[in-house]
Order: sequence, then structure tokens, then C-alpha cells
Amino acid sequence: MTAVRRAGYAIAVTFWLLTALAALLTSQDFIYEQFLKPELLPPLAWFVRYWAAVATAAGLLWFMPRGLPASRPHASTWFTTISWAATVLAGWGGYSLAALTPGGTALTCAAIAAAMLVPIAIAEQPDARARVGEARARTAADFVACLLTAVMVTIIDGATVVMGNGSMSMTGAWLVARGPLLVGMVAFLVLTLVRGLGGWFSRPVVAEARGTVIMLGALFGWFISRVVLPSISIDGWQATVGGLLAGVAVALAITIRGVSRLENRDDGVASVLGSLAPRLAGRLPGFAAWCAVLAVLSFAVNDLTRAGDWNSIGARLGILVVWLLALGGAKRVVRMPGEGEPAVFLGFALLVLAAYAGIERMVGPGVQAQSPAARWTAELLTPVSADGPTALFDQLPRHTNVPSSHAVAAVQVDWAVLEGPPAAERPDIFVFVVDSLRRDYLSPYNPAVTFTPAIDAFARDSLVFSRAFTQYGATGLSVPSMWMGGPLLHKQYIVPFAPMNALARLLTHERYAQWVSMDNILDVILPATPALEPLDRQVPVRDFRLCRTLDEVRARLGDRPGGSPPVFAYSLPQDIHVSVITREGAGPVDGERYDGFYAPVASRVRRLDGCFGAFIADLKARGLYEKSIIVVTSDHGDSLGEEGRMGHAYTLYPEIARVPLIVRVPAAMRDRYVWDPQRPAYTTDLTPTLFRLLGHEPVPPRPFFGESLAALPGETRPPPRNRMIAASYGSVYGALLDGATRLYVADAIQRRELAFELGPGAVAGTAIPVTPALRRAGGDVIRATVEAIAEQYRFHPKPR
Amino acid sequence: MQSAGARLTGAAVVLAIYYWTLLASPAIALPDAAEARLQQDLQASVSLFNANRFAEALAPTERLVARWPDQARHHERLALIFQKLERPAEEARAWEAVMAASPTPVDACPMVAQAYQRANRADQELLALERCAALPPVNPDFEVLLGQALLRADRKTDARRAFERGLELDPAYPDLHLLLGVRQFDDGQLSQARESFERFLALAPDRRGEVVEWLVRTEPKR
Repeated sequence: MTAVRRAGYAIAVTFWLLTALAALLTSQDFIYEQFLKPELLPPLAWFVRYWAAVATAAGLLWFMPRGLPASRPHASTWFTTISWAATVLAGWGGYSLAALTPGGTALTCAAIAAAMLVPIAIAEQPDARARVGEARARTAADFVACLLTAVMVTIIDGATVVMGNGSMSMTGAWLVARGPLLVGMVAFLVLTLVRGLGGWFSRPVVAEARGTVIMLGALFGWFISRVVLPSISIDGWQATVGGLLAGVAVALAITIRGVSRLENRDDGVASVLGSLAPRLAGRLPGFAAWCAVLAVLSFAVNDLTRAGDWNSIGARLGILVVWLLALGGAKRVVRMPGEGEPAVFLGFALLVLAAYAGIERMVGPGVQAQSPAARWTAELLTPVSADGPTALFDQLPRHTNVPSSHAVAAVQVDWAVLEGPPAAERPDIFVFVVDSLRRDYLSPYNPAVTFTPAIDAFARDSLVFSRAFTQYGATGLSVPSMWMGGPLLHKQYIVPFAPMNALARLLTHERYAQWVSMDNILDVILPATPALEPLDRQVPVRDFRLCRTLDEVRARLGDRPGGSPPVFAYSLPQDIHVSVITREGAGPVDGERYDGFYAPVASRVRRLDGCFGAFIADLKARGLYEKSIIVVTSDHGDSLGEEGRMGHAYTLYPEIARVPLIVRVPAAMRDRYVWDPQRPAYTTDLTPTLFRLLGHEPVPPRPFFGESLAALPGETRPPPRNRMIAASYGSVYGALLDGATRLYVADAIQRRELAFELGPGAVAGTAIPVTPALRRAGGDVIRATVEAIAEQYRFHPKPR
Repeated sequence: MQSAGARLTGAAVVLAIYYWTLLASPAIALPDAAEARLQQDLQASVSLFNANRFAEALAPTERLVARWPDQARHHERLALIFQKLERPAEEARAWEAVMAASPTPVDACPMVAQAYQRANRADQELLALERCAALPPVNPDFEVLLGQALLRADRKTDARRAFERGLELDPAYPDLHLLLGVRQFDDGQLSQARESFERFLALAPDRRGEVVEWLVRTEPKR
């Protein structure tokens, strides 16, 4: 029965944690629009859909071993049961997860779900009060346990590095060891503090136990409020308070047995921390087995979080869990007969710090850590610069991910007065925005690429913009900005979007047949017109593939009767999106080797290149190639392992900001204009370019909008201006400076700055130090653009 | 230090020292002086170059090249600085570095060859032009320059082949017709030379005088 009870408890805690997570994700507009609505996270979608049934089942599994007559449940069990039942009934009554929409209700649901951990934990306490012994100083045992923990996690992390690289240098070993060593010493100091505080209470052992839970809660709270919540744009007091409360609830839920039973009657700290590891870890063979389990867990976490978006959050959660479980095992196995002199061990802690400082000076900066834990440590040990742009860091979150509850009216975006009959020359237009495609995975941008012969041949006929950038680092805002022709308010989305969709109006005016793959974004931003003939009907967004879409376009071209209106075909294939690759197992789709490239992406790029080549051949056979405008680009790049980074969710690095942009224009049309493929180009420049090519002289609605890639003969173009770019899902902004040869990034989530030099070669960028001049120039561009956008939308940010 | 208060105080003090050393003190983690100097070099190199202060721009640019040898743009700026300082041998070496580092090595053409020419390294000039002519994208300009360099080296047959290759790339390139015509004229193939001159004049009717000038320069050799 005990095992069933424990299983029921574990299921209950997991269920409410998942519920809190699902509600929390739903509360954010961009997650709801980009990930939940298109069901890009299938397990979570399943959980949400069947939440009420799962809740009932989990509730029964929890209650059965407690509610049976033989087990004589006490009052807190009944209280918890009633709370649970009321919550589930409310869910059945209409507030189930599936019915939630972004906003305050979802946040409240997340808070209720997290709060449910408390009554469950209280109900887990035994009726009888644990017998408590006399508290004793345990400085020696604490010190050795913390040191042992540091050694355990160093070995596990070092093994991860060696398995990945085959070897490890002395510097690498130091980078792996320094984090656990410092964390171990800090843990020892905190435990000494807790014991010291406990000594002031009448029942020191109980006070120690509660103090340890509060410390664990503070640690979880720090993690939730500083690592998890800012990554989904929840910050400020909401993040701090919510994170701390949730952290304490989680700490209580996972240590309640240790707190209430006090296995070590004279040691509250060991009782709580020891409950994180099984009893068998208290003996040496069992402890060895526990170490092996943690090693497997660590490798599994590394593997699972290797390729995902937001991978750093999962990886860091894994690191935290492994370190805590290691400490739990160490507290169980370490038994010291003597108490030790605290001053000696505090002196040891100081020695460790001095050794760290000395070795750090010898190693010097610039050496790259090679494991997730070592990288995280390096990040934590980077002090927040005192001269950083504090005001900018405070300002940017208020302009980012504006919630749907903050109503903002649409504004009219006009590039030209659209009147009169359609243009005499209306070429077919094909725009392929391959989600997450990096420029250095295409041979026109990187001579080392051998797997894109079709795009290479196409590029030789086309304009290859060597310095092309996305306006936004992820699809959510990149696509709308592309159709609009400029940056927009950081909100998903202002509705109706039609007044801002300049490209859609141009296509309607020019009477184009619109063959568009309708995804969750186009559903919102593209007004329905009779000219709209969706591609990829009935295909889930996550299954959009270029090959399938091109087959459909080719079939439609074949069926097109003479005299039909010209075609505008647009698709955002998901072939190489990080979520697709993760779901498909993060492996290559063929047996080829792609040395120097991330094979899962490279193999898929090869596949779509083949389909693109067939499409171009088909256009040529139909005599359409010479008469068409064809664009190959992407909505953003992607991190594919650079310094351990994957994906593009809320970061802005050169490999994310730079995109391919290859444009083919009919020869006669091309000759009428002046093109400069070396000039910085942006995805938002496509719309004004199409306006000009179709005979409508584009006038930027605001100075910060895009510009036509085609210049008029004799036109004196001003030097490329410094422009702002941004992440789509977080307050991370960038400024492209000096002809887009430098990128300054203000990361208001982690309150840090980065700078890169952007060379002409295949390497996207090289990190350079942030100087006052860069900070000033970049900050000015970002601030001015953000404020100009707010002014355009008459948006007044609310303080957070 | 056995009392709870003493332990508490001791741990708090050591924790405070940890905080100060690891997070609050700038002593350990700030970028080192070398990195900061490189950043200054970057700014100095660009701004001094733009201000035409080439001698002063040289030293910071050389340091940038040493730090980022795989970035062609620094090599390119260094080459241009040497060009302005009239140090052709070093200029040629810098252009060679551009060719090695750039994904589009043709960016260094034909400057690399011109630098060798100024350095009186005719052999290297020829080799450089041959490499330029072989690089994508094909460019008939390089065949013109190669042919002219071959003429200076008195390799007239090779020069003629270069002009013919250039015309295969761009049959509407007037200078190539002129240069080929002169070669044909020099070789005694008068009817072919006449055709070449006629094509040249058809493509560039306002450059009639150049034919005469070439013929005058060629005639005494016959």
C-alpha cells in the first residue's frame, strides 16, 4: 500500500506541475499563437485536450490509498480532496485548460495549480508528530557532503565533455570543475547559515528542516523567476513573487516526507536533503548506484535538450535537478563521527575561493566552456556590467510582447496610392520563405556547401544579396513585418491586421491570384478575399514541406487556363524548423555525411534543393521562368550548436539575424533598375521592392520602414542607415551598425550586452567587446526605433 | 566557534566575501586589456582609413589581421593601405591573404596582379591573372588583362589565346576584338584582322582613333 500511496503522490505532484506549466504557457500570447494553436507540442496538446479526464484519473489514483476506510484519512486529506474536486469541477464547467486563452485567467489558473501542491503536501504529513532529538553542529559532515557533491557532478559533467570530444584539456577540466566547486562551497555556507539560524529556535531540528525547505524554495524561486519566466516574457514583480511562491510550493511538495518524518531525529538538514535520494544511497554500494543513475539522467537530459528550442531552459533545469539529487545522495552517505571546528571549514571555503581567483587569472577570459553546466557557470560568473544601459533594459520589456489585454488599434500602412488599372506587366511571383534556413547552408553564400546545386544554379541567374538580415529573429513577427514592409509593434497580434498588410493590398489591387500556404500567422494577417486560393489545405502547419507545396503549385500551373490572372505563390515550409527536426528524431534524412554542418538540417536542405530544382525546371519548360519574380529567403536563421546554442526562440545572434535572400527578376524588369547586392538588405525590403517593380513608387510610411532593393537609374541612394532588429518572443533587441558590419545586442532578459563583427564570409559573426561607442550607437538606434513604433501605434506602455 | 551565533556570523561573512569576489568585483571577469585594445584597433583602423591617414591606420590594421586572420575585410583594408603607401610587395601579399580568406576570392582581382606589376614581379603578375581568370564568376576583363600581361612578357601566342577565350565569354566586348585584331594583324592574318577591327568599330563606333593608334604602334614591328 505504501508504494501505491507514493506513486499516487508522485502522479499528483506531476499532474499539478504540468497543469501549472500548461496554463502558464497559455497565458502568453506568442506561445499561444505560435506553438499551442498550431499544436507544435503534441504531448502538451494531448494533456490540455484531455485535462479534465486526466485530472479525475490522477485525483482518484491519489485519493484511493488515502480514502479507503483502512487508511483513516485525516482532515487535511479531506480538505485536499475537496480542493481538488472543486478545481476539476471548475474545469469541467468551462475553465478547463482547453478553454483558456492568453491573459490573466490563464495566469490565475497557473497560480491555482501551483498552489494545489501545498494541500497535497500537507495531506502527506503523518498524524503523529515526529520525535525530535538534540540538534548538533554538523559542519564537518556538511562540508564533506558538499565537496563530495562537487566531485560527483564534476565527474559526470567531465564525462559528458569527454564523450562528446574524445578528450579534455586541463583548461577544459578546470572549466568543468569550477562551477560545482563554487556551488558546493556556497551550498556549504548556506547550510551553515541555516543551522546557525535554527539554533536560535526552541526546537532547532525542526527549524533546520523548515529552513532547508525555505532555502530550496528560494533556489527554485530564483530559477523560476530568473531563468524560466523571463524567457517567456514574464518579468518584474510578477516574476519575482510568482516565482518565489511557486518555488516554495515545489520545494515543499518534493521534500514533505523529509520535513514531516525527520528520519534523522537530530539533523533537520540531512532529513530534508536526504529525502531527495533513496535510502539505499546511504550505503556505499547504493551510493555508487545512485551516482550511476545521476550520470544516466545527466546524459539523457543533455541528449533530450540538445536540439530543442528553449533548450537552455531544459538543460539548466536538468543541471539543477542533478546537482540537488547528488547533494541528497551525499547527505545520506556522509556520516562524520566528530562535529569539526567550523572555523576550519569556513577557512577551507575561503581557500577554495582564493584558488579559484588565482586559477581564473591564469586561464584568462575567452576560453569556451564545453558542457551546458560549465557554460551556465560561466554565464552566472559574468558580473552584470555596472555601466550597462540600465534605462534601456528597463524600457525594452515594456515594449515587448504587448499582451492581448492591452488593446491597440491598427494603423494604416500605405506604401503608395493604389489607384487606376493593374500594371501592364505583371509577372508571376513566387516567394519561398524557408523557415529557419541559414545562409551558410546554401552554396551561393558558402563555397563549402556541396548539397544545394539547384539553388546554386538559380543564384547564378539571380541577385544574391550578400548582407541580408531578418527584421525579427523568429517567425511570429518576422512574417507580418515582411508583408508590411517594416517593423511593427511587438504584439501578437493587432487585429484586424488588414490595414497594415500593404503587400496583400498591392496583390489585390494588381488582381493577383493568391496561392498562399495558410498557417496560423497568415490566418490572422491575411484578409480573406476571393483571390485567395490556399495551398496546403488540410495540412497541419508543422507538416508544411517545400516539396509537397511545390508539387501543388506545379499542378495548379498545369491546370491554369489561358488568360488567367498572374499568380502570387507564397509558402513558409517547415522542413528544417528546429521543432520539426526534434520531432523527427534530430537525425539526417539520408545516409550522407555532412562534415562541418549540422546533418539533420543539411540533409533536409539537400532534399528541398532537389525539389526546388525540379520546380525551376518545370517553370522553364512552361516558359514561365524568364517571366517570373522568384524569391528564396527565410524568416530568420537558427543557432545550430554555436557555443551550445540551439534554435532561435528569444535570442539574437548573427547566425539568427542573417538570412539568405536570392531574388530573380525578369531580365527586362531587372535592367530597368539599379541593384546593389552588396548593400545591406532586409526581409522587410521585399514589399517596397514589389511595389516598385509593379509600377507603384514606394514611399516609406515611416523613416524606420524598409526600402526597395531596386533603385531608380540615377537615383542617389543614401548610405545604408543603422537599423533595429529584434527577437520575436522576448525583449532582446539588436542594432545593425556601420553598413551592417557590426551587430550590437541589448538583451533585456538577461540584462547583458553583446557585440559582433559581421564579416562577408560564411562565418555569420565574430564576438567583439562592447565599447562605450558601440553601446551608445546601438542603444540610440534601438531606443529611437522602439519609441517611433510606439508613437506610430499611439501605444503607451504600462509599467511592469 | 561552536555557538550558533558564531557559526551564523562566520558563514555570513564568508558568503559576503564570495559574493564580492565572484559577482560584485570587476577584477576577475572583465574583458582583458588585450581584447579592449583590439576593439580600439578596430575603430582606429576604420576611422583613420576613412580619413585618408593611411600610415597611422597601418599598425592597428596589422593587429586586426593578426587577431582575425580568417576575416577578409581586414586583409582587404590592409591591402588598400599598402596601395596608398605605395608598398606594392606588401600590398600583393595582403591581396593574396584576401584571396585565401574570402569566400569569393575574385574580390582580390585584378588588384593582386596589379600589385605584382607595380612590384616588378611579372612572373607573379601572370600567375595571379591566370588564377583570376579561372575563378568564378567568369569575367572577360581578366582575359584582357592576362593577354596584355602576356604581351608584355612577349608571349604573343598565349596572349592571342587569352583574347580568344575572352571573346568566347563575351562576344560583344569591343576591346577584345581590337586586341585580337592587332594580334592577327601582327601575325599577318590581314583579312581576319580586318574582320576583328570591323567588329570593334561596330561595337564602339566612337573609338575609331584607337584602331589607328594600335596599327601605328604595331606597324614598325612588321
